[in-house]
Amino acid sequence: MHSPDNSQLLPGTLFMLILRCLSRGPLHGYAIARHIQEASKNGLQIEDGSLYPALNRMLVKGWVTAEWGVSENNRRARFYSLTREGRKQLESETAEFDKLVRSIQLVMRSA
Amino acid sequence: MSMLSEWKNILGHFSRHRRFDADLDDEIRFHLETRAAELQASGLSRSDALTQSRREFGSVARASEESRGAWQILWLEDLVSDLRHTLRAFRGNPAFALTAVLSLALGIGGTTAIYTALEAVLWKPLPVEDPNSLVTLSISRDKRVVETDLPAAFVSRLRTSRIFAGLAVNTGDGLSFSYDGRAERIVGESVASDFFDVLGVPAILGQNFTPDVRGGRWAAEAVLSYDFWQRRFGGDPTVIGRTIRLNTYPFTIVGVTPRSFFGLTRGTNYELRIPILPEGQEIAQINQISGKPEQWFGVVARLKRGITVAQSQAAADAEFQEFLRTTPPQRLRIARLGHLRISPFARGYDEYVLPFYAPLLLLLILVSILLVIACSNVATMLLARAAARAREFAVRISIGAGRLRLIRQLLAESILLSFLGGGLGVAVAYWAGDVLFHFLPQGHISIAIDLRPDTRALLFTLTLSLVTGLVFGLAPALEATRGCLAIALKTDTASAPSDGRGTRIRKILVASQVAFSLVLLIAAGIFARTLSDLRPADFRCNPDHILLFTLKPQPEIYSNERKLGLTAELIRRVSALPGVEAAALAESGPLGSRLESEEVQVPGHDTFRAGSDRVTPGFFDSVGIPRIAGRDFDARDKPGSPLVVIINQALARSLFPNQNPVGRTLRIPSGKQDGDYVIVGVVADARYYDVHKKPQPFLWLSMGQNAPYMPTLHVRTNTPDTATTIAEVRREFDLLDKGFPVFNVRTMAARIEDSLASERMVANLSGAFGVLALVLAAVGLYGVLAYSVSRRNREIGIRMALGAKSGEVLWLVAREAFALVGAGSVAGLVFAIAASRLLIHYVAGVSSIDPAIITSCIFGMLVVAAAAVSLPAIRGCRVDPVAALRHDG
Repeated sequence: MHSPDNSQLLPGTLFMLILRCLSRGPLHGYAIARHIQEASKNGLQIEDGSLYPALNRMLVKGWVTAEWGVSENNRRARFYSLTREGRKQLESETAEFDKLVRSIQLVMRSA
Repeated sequence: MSMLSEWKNILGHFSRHRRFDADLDDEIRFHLETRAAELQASGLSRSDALTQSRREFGSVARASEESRGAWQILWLEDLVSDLRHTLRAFRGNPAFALTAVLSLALGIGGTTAIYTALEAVLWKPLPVEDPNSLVTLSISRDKRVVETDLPAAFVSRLRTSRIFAGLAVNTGDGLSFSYDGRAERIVGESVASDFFDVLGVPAILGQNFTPDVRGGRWAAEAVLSYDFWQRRFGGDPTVIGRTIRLNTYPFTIVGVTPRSFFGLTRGTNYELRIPILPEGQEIAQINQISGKPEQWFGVVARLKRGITVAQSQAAADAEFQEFLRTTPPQRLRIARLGHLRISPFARGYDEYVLPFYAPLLLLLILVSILLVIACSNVATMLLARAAARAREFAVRISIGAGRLRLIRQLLAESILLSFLGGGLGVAVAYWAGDVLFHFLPQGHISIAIDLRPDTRALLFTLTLSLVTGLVFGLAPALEATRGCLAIALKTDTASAPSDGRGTRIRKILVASQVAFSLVLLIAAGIFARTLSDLRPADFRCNPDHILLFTLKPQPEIYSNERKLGLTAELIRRVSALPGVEAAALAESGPLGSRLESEEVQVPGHDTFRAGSDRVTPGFFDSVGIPRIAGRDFDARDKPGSPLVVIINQALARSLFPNQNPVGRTLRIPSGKQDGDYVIVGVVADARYYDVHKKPQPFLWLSMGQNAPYMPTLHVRTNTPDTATTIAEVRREFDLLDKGFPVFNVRTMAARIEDSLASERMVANLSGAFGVLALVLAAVGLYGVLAYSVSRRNREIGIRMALGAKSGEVLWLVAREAFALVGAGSVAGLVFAIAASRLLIHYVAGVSSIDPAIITSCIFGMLVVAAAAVSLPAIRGCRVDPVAALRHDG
C-alpha cells in the first residue's frame, strides 16, 4: 500500500492520532484536522488532504465506521466513529508509542 | 483485524461503489468550504480564504486518488493482465490450447455427467419441503421388514392419533388414460387429499386439489405431472378444467406440479395424481383409490418439530399394537405382522434406482482416472512449454519480476485452460446425459430421471475445474521458475544436453498415462466380457424375433371367464397371422420383472419355495425353452379339470432326484393357487426371472386354470420385419376388444438388454473411456517424442554426418518411446490385476481378468503407441545433417 507523504510523522502515527481524536466521540474529517492542529499547538505539519486516505484505510481495516450527518454549521458532513476494534487498536498503539518514546528518551539521556 | 473482515469491508464497499466517488467529493468540498468560512470569519477575503484553505489541504487529486486506492485490490488488476497475457499466448499456439482444452473438456464433462447421474439417482434430496423431517413407515417382524405398506384402517387411526405433523399417503398403479379419443396406459399415483400440503409442493398451474377436496369432500380431480402435461397437452395452460377419463371414469384436471417434482419414488415420474376416496366409499372402475379399510397404502410421515425418530416410533408402535389387538386378524391378513418401524426418508423410495448406484460409482472411479490422464496430459504440455520458455522466465526474474508473480501468471494460464475446459465440459455433460439416458431400461419399469446438470452439478464442475487447474498447473509452474538463472541464460534451449528434471517429470507423466489407459482398457475388457457372459443362451430362438405385448384387462371391468375367453380368441387370431410361428400368454414371462413364488410340498421333503408363472399352451415353444419330458399344457387344462403343473429340471432334480417326475404330484399348501397338482411335463433350465442368477427351481401353472391379471403376449415370428407384425397384432387387439390397453410393446431382445442395463452402461462407457484414454496417452507420447526429437536435432545430425543409417536413427527415437510404453504397461498391468481382484470382491457377477483380455489390450496399446511414435521418428530420419549442424538455437 502506498503511504501518504507525512515525512514528519513516524510511520503509522497518523492512524494513532486520528484514533485518539475519535476516542471522545464521532467527528467529521475537518474537525479531526482542526483538533490535531490545535492540540499540537500547530506543532505538526500535516496536510489536511492526507487525512482522507488514512481514514479510508481505517475503514477498510474496520477500526472506524462512517455515517452521514449534519455538522454544527448545518451542512451534510461525514462523521467517523471508533469501533470496538478501533478502540483496541488505539490502546495497543498508545502503549507501543509510549514504550518507543521512553526508549528513545533513555538513549538520549544516557549520552 | 483479520483478513476475512477486511475482505468483508471491501466487498461491502463494492456494493456502494457508485456512491463512493460522489461521497468523497462531497466530503472534501465540505472540508475546504468549512475551513474557508472559518478563515473568512477571522477577516480574510473570500478568495484568499479559499486559496489558504486549499493550500492547507494539499493536492485534492492525490487525496481522492489515495482514498480510492485504499479500497482497491491490487492483485485483481494483476490478474486481468495475467489473463490478457495468457490469451495472447494461446492465440500464438492454438494447437496446444485446443488440445489441452479438449482433453480437459472430455475429462471434466464426463466426470460431471456421471456425478449428475449419481445426484439424480440417489444423492439429491427429494424435491419437497424439508425432506429431512420425513420418515417412512413399514411393518417388521423379527427385525425384518415384511410390509412396506400399511392397512388403511390403521392409517386413519394414525391420523387421529396426531403423532406426526402430517401423513403423505400414496399408492401407484397403472391406469388406462383417455382424452380426445386416444387411449394409453399411464401410471398414476393415488394420494390422500392433503398429500401436497404435507410435502409442501405448490402447483405451478391451477391448484393441487381444490379446497373442497383438501377439506375432505371427494371429487374426481387429477393433478398432472409437469412432464405429462408437456408430453400429452403440449404445455397448454388452458388444460385446467378439462375432462379426462381414467379407466373410463371422468376426472377434471385441476393442477400441474412443478417440473422438479418427481414424487417420492426415485426413478419414476408418475403421469398424474388423483385423490383417494374417503373411508368406506369406492368406485367400480378404479380399485386403487378405494376407501375400503382393507386397502393398503404407502405412508410417509413428517415428524413433529423436536420429536425424534425413536420417540415417534415408540408412540406409533404402541398405537399399532393396540390396532393389532383390537382388529380381527383374518380380516386384514395381519396375522404375521410384528412391529411398526420408522426409518428416515430424506432420499425417498429408491428401490428402482438402487441397482444403478454401484455401477455409477464404478463409472465415477473410471472417469476420474480419465480426468487424471487428461490432467497429466496437459501438465506434460505445460512442462514442454515451460522448458521452451525457460530463457524468457530467467530474463524476467533477472530484471526483477518476483518468482511468485511468475508462478501466479503460469497458474492463471492453467486455470484459464481448465475453466475453458470446464465450460466446454458442461456441453459435454449435457450430451453425455442424453447418452446415459439411453442405457436406462424403458420397459415394464421405465426409469425416468433428469440427467441434465443442475446448479449443484455446475458448482461441482466449477470446483473440479479449479482443482484440476491447480493440480496440473502447479508442478509445471514451480518447475519453470525453479531454473537456475545463469544456466538458463547461458545454454540455449535447442541444444541443452542434460536430461533436466522437467524432462524426467514429463517422462514419468507419459508413462503413467500409458499405465492408466491400460487400466481403463483392461477394465473395459472385463466389463465387456461380463456383459457377454450374462446374455442368456438358454433360449433357443432369436430374441429379436420374439415380440412382447403386455395387456391389462382391468379386473374392475372384465370377469375371469370373459378374460379367459377373450385371451384364447386373441391367441387363436394372432397365431393365424402371416409370419407368426407361435403365440402364447404368460403372466410374467422370461425376465418379466415380476416374481411370484409358491411353497411346494412333496412327501419326504421339507417345504420348498420355487418361482412360479402362469402360461397358456405353446408358451415354451414361443420363447424357445426346450421341453424335456411329458407334455405341454393344452385344451384339456380348464377350470375344474385336474390341476396340472410343468416344472423345470432344477426343481425336478431337487424334488425327485434320479426319478421321472412326470405323473407325480406336488402340493401347493397356501395362497390363491393352493391344491394338489399333477406334474405333466419337464422343461429345460433357463435364467428366467433374473438374468444375473443361475437358473433357479421353477414351476408353471396353466393360465387356463388361473385367469390372467396383467399378462404378456409372446409372439414368435419368422420375419425380420417386426414393425409390420406389431401393427397386425395391434389391429387384432383393436378388432377383438378396444378396452384392453396394450403397452410395453417390444422384442425379447430389448427386454434382455433392459435387464442388463447397468452392465451394458458400464461396459459401453468404460469402453469409451478406454478409447479416449488411449487417444490421450497417444497425444502425450507424441508430444514428448516430438519435443525430444527437436531437441536432439543436432545430435541426430552429427550421428548422420558420421554415417548413421536412418534405421539406427529410427531405433534411437523408438527406443525411448518403447521404454516409456513398456514401463507404463507393466505398471498398468500390475495395477489392473490388483484392481480386478478387488472388483470381484466388491461387485457381484463380474467376470475375471483373463490372458485374452490382457493380450488384446496390450496389443491395442502398442499399435496406438507405434502410430504416435512413427511421426516424430520419421521426422528424426529426415533431419538434414548440414542444416542441423549449422542451426544454432
